[in-house]
Amino acid sequence: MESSIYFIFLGLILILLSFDRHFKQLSKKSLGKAFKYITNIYGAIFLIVSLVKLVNIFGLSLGITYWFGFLGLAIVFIAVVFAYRPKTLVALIAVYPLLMLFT
Amino acid sequence: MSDNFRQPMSWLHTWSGLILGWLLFAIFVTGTSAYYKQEITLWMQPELHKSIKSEKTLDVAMQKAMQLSSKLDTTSIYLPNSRANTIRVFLPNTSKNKENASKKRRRGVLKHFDASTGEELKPRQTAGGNFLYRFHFELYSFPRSQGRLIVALATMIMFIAIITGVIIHKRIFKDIFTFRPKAGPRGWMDAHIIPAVATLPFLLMITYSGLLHLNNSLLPWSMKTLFDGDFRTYKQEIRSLKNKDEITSKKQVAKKEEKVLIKASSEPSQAQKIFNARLNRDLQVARHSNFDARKVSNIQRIISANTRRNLFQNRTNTKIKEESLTKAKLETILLKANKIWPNNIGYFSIIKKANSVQVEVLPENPSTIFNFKGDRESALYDGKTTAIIKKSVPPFTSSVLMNTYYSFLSLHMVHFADSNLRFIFFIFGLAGVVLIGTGLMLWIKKREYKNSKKKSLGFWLVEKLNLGTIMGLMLAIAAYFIVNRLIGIETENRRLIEINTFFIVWLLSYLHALVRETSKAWMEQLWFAIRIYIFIPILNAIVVFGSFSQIFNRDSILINFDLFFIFTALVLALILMILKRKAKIRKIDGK
Repeated sequence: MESSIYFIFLGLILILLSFDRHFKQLSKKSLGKAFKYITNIYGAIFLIVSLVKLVNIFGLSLGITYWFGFLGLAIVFIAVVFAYRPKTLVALIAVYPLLMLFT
Repeated sequence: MSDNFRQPMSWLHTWSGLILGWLLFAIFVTGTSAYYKQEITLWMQPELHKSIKSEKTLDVAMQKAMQLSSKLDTTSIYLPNSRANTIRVFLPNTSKNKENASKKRRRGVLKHFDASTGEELKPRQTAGGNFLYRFHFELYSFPRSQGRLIVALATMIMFIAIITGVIIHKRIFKDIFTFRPKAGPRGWMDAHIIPAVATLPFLLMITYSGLLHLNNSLLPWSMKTLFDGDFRTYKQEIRSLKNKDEITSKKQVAKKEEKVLIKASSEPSQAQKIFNARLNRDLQVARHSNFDARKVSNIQRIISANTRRNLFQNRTNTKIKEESLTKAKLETILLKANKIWPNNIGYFSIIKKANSVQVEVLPENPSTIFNFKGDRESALYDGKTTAIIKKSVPPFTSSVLMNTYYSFLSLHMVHFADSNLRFIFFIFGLAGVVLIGTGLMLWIKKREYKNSKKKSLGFWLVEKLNLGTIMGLMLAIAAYFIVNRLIGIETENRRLIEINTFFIVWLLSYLHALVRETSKAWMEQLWFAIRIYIFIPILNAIVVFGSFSQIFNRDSILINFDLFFIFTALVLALILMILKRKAKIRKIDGK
């Protein structure tokens, strides 16, 4: 389940990076077209993977319910934290893989 | 979508949201609290707090079940779980004065037992989480049907506001992460949009399922026409449709059982056979000789009485014989069920039937959202052999319509949720509260400038009502918790005192808002709310705990309550800080 939550978070961060406005909050460079497409598509793929994983764990009905639940929480969390600490938020995507590496 | 279409939608969104916004705010606050209805009731009954789940719990529960099953036909045991810390036993009402008892009591009472010692715990009378829960769909002191109708109309307005909100929001996905807290009214707009977009599926689901729950209040005509306004028959019809498949199979089983029962029980003993033969001979004689009708009917009556007695005796004998469920067998059954739902047994019941004893086991967290009242995931075991009879996983009917309907109702009430999912739903409920609260504030913020030029009564009224509803409810709920600890345990009408306190404090908040200048009233009520929320855990510690160690030696449910109160106080303190800073800036700007 933890990995599904991480994939939702990662997917949403990638989608966030594909928006011009938010990208500018992070970097002075302008957003490249290829980067925009890649982040958008990979973001969507991670979201789909998380949905499949949750359905596998909890079954169809509960899996979808859980997915919408985590998705909503992640959106609120990202929107609020990104407004105050954008770089820290993006750096958070490294936490889970690092934890996995050391445990 | 053209602006010609968006503009009227925006008008509809603003005004429909405003007019019933205060009621919707109250419905969302109390409805969100209903996710923890059981926990609130537990918090409000400190007599139950000492019960702590231990290794002995299952043993104690089984012992209690065995004791009670000798007296009762159905013994239902609820094990302690993430929502309750006691062993609960449902005792059905068998007394004759059922009709006089309240609806709840008519069905029976729930008794609490200590999870480690098995000692009976007698909790104080309280309105508990049930009052807040019922308020969110039928308000209070209104006749039930009217209360429900008002809530149903408010729900319909909410549904309209959600749909129009989606229509008027042009960049729904592009602005999904946009939050600009320092952008004035735009910041308020973001705070209104983020919870709305993030929890949009939840909001649609909760509002639509709310409408389905109250369908009968909004559209009563089908019931009036088809069932002559008879709610019970109407409900029965729905139930029969829902359980159509199940009923057909149940009927077949029952018929088979009946046949076996009659065959087995009508077999008379040897002495009975001789007696019956003699009676039959007398009957023949009476019929053939001079046909004494009186004598014939007398003999016939004796025969039928004998048969009846025989039947009853045999039933009692089989009952005694079949009551061979022992504690060891019960343990085996629960172990078997534990293999199906590892560490997830929530409930079991011993059901005595005419010629068998069955044990039904239910998981604490079911594996599907189809979980509503009668439709529960369960496993049925034979008490004699401990073999599994059947495992049922809902949905039980093949009707798509009924399954859709009941899954919506189930989603609304989250009967299926484990503690994680329940918490997510609770957070989403709070997001709904923030959504409505910010919506109400947004109306003010957008018109602040215009009002500073020309004062309007409408603006003044909305300002006061916003304050009285938002802060008033916060204070009323806190007072509701506090008064529970302050009034005597034996006081009569405790329930009523708690409820009255809730409404009086809410009313006082409106009055305070009316007499004070709005921005000052906001700060004063926030200041008071912070202190009152911090006070709850302190008061609880003083009134309930005998020693310091008890504070940590409690069930986690109760510790979470204290944390929630402190967290709420911190959030309120943050809001107060922001308001004070803004007031300072305004003062400097004014100078």
